[in-house]
Amino acid sequence: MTGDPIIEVKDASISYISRREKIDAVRNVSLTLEKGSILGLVGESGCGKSTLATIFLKLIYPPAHIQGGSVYYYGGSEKTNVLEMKPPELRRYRWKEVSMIFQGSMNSLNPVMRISDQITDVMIDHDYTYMEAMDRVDSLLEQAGISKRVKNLYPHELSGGMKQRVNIAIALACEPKALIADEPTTALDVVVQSQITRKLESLRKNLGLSILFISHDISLVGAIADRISVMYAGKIVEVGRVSDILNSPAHQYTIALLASIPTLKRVEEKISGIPGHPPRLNTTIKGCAFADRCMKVQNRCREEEPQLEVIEGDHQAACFFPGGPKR
Amino acid sequence: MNEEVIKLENITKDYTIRTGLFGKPKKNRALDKVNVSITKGEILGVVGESGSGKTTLGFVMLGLANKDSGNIYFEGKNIDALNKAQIKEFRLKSQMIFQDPFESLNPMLTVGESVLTPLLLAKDRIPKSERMLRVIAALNSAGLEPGEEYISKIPSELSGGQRQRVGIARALINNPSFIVADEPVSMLDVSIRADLLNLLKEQAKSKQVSMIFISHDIIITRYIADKILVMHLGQVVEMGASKDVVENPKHPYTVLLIKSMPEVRDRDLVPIDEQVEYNVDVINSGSDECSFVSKCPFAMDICAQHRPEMKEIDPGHFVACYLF
Repeated sequence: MTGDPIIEVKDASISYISRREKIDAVRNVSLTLEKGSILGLVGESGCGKSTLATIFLKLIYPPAHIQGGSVYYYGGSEKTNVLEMKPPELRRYRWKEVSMIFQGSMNSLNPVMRISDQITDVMIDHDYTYMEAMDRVDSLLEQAGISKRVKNLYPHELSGGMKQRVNIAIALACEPKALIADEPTTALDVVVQSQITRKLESLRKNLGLSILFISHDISLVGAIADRISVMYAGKIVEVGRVSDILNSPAHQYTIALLASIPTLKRVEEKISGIPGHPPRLNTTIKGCAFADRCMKVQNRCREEEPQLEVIEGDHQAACFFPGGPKR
Repeated sequence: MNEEVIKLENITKDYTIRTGLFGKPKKNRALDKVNVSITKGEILGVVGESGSGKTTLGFVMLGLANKDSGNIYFEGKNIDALNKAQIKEFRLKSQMIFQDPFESLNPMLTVGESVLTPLLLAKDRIPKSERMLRVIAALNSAGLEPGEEYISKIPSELSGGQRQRVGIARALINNPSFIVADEPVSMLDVSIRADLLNLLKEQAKSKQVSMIFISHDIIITRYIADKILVMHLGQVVEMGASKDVVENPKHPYTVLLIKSMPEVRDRDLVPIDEQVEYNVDVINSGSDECSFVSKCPFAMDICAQHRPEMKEIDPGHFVACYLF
């Protein structure tokens, strides 16, 4: 980890606009993915984490609209703003510079194409010749950790874990510098999940890949990532090193989230859920979005919106009354 | 307290897999000589990967799937020998909570109607005037308070957690003696899960309902269950008190399951699942061997020749493995 950024999202806002309402799914979010590191992005369903993921590749199409912000990519010869790229530049940027594993991508393989064709497809589209692409298939499958024999098979002949590995192979096909993995292990069994996350970890080590790992499972993210960003109602509420977030969480949401998960170490302790629901994002939220569910809420939380502030070192939280009992 | 509510003896269940138009059908043994019993008020956690037969176990217990061989005893009586009235009684006393709260409620029925339905099946016993009171009481005990407000809502007005509570109310309304909860929290957000787990645990304990809690997450199961049963491809590989199974796992598969939990993972250890190629496509064809033999790093010749018997290695802690 060098601490240099590879991709930096600055003040991004994304809204879904329909005739009836406007939903602000991502509200003024800044996020930095450092070179060669794994950043975990955690949040509940509907908090905007997948929407945020799509901005890294500018995969935003109506009804989603970018309301503002910029995405800087530092991997090229100079800093470029992804959101201002022209279509041919974008085509080169996607997959060659930054690629993505989509949520539920086990089911995104084409059922009537052989695995090898699906892998070469993207390479041929990115200026590889057919022969070069075919030559790479074996080594890509090996990198993703499955045997070469699957290249002549069809997706229905593979198990969920194997399909997910094929997706990793496709994501690595054009030797990207960064990878956006949106819930790559949801719907997989725990054993397979741990193998896939380990694979991603070893890819980071061997290829120096930078990974944004998105998941709703904070303990899973804690096991793989270097840093964690916690997202709630379209905003980043806390960001810090894994040890900071897991051992001394600052934002009340993070504290409550960790208290709601049983762990093997604290198995005798009673866990408790978070009362209420996340706010709907179709209206402007006054004050802190978590105020209605927060145990420590004060008047100030409902009036003013807290901004990310330094707690200690590079640990930041957007909370007026951070901290709680040490865990 | 030690009264057995339901007891399964040597239950076997096969599914046939069609292998193309002219292929010979293959046999997939979903349950392979399962023996298990649950006492009153006990929560039994069933853990395993997908395809391990845990849902089939729940279905067979409820009579929703037919067993191929073996015996099921409900409150001491063999359910094959029950007459029609007794079978109805059995069905009223055994209930299920489903995995997906978005699909297990009829979208056209109000919450009150959904919860009332099981009560109507017992209509000869409950006077009309009392029915709605029972529905409200069931909703209240499932945490939907006040119940009166929820009765006329339809599922689309409720969140996932609330819908699952409706499912719980529906399962509780007939005062069942046992409930099969098939992955009841896996579709819910973590912040909502905790309260539902507490609710299930509290209801089972206060009403002395036996519960089968089916889950793929051994840590959640450890939290809620008294006893854990670990299944692999239809075979029970380990069973014991939750604490023993999780803190002192014996069977290589249980060890693998626990080591795969993210919080347990030690980044420096070479874990057991990297020593063998973990092929999830293996099915149990019903031959006399340990179901884990093809993935087990400690596999011996005997493992493929005879299936290991369940052995009690510590009081109440059973393992089916030749290593012990």
